[in-house]
Amino acid sequence: MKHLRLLAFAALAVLLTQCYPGGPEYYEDLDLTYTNYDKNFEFQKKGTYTRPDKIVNITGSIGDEGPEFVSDIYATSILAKIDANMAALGWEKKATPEEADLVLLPAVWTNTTIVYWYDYWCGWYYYCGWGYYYPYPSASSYTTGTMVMTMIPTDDSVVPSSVWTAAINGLMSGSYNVTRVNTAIDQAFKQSPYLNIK
Amino acid sequence: MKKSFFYTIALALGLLVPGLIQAQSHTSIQYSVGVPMGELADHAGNISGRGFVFEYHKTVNDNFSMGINLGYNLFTEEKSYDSYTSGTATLSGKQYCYDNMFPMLFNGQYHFGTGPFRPYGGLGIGTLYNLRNTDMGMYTIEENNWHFLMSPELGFNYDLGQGVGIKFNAKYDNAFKSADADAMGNLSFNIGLNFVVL
Repeated sequence: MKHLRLLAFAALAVLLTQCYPGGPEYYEDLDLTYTNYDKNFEFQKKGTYTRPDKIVNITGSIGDEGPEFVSDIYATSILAKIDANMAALGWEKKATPEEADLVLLPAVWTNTTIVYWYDYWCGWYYYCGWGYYYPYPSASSYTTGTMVMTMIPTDDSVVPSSVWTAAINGLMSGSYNVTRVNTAIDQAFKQSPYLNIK
Repeated sequence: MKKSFFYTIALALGLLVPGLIQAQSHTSIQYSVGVPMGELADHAGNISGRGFVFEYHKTVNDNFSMGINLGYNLFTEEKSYDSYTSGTATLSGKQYCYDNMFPMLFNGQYHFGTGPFRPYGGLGIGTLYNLRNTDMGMYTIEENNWHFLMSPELGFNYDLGQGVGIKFNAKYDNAFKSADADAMGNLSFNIGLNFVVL
């Protein structure tokens, strides 16, 4: 009887410690903003930039009709937010790469991860958990979206390479949330004080 | 280090076995509340209400017992949105930090008095396994570290009769610096039942 009580207490102790408390509750809790830059590039000596009018959607393949682009419904607000941040930092937007010091290239892609789980502890027809059952696999998936912004000098004498890269990443919620995207773009420029040329 | 520790323990047990064969034994299951200290508090600083201790002791004489002490504490902390910079790279987001602590001790306890209420002091030597996760976005950094561990404790046993008693103690797990991790500490308060096993 004493051994049964000890086993019961031990089982209760194990059960109480099986899952993590807390954790993310909202999609925004998982949003990340990453930036990196070339510390040898003199941003203060530049003042103009240009960018394409569309945002490339990287899918891994180019169809017969060429690359895919983000719908203008969403791309317009994203590009406007980028322009607003660059202007606030003192940059002047130009129409063509020939007139500008830097070209800012935005791109997006999505990534779907499939999580597969098989109860290997119950690897055969065996008493496991609440009763006899045949083990079955379970699978779930989640999709993340990433937007990358890259700045490349337009100077022909310089080997083309990125002098500033920003990446924003988050869990797709199934509906476009302009607030999350705008907040992440603002954060990317906020954590890049070296872009301030005023 | 771990091999020499276990060889030492095996030798000590070998010398004590003749005296322990006829000895009374005690088994205890305790609920544990942990207060993180040092570097552990920097990573996951919330007081832990998720923990337990399992203890098995053999009585050497009327005042001294020794045996094993195995425990678990889970420490968590949700850090608010912040930016983390390393060199030219900056990453912003919310961090969810988890520390799973598994202290494993060989300890001895000296009990004062012979009545139903018996305070005691003890010291344990062993090892601590720490499984640490730092989650940001959909990504996690997982670290596994072993530490040399010394744990002094103070507490009391209260005999309720019929071979059952209440055990309460305060124990400080002092985990020493390892090759890949800093020193850390856990002040735990443990309460549970003590069973005499003849």
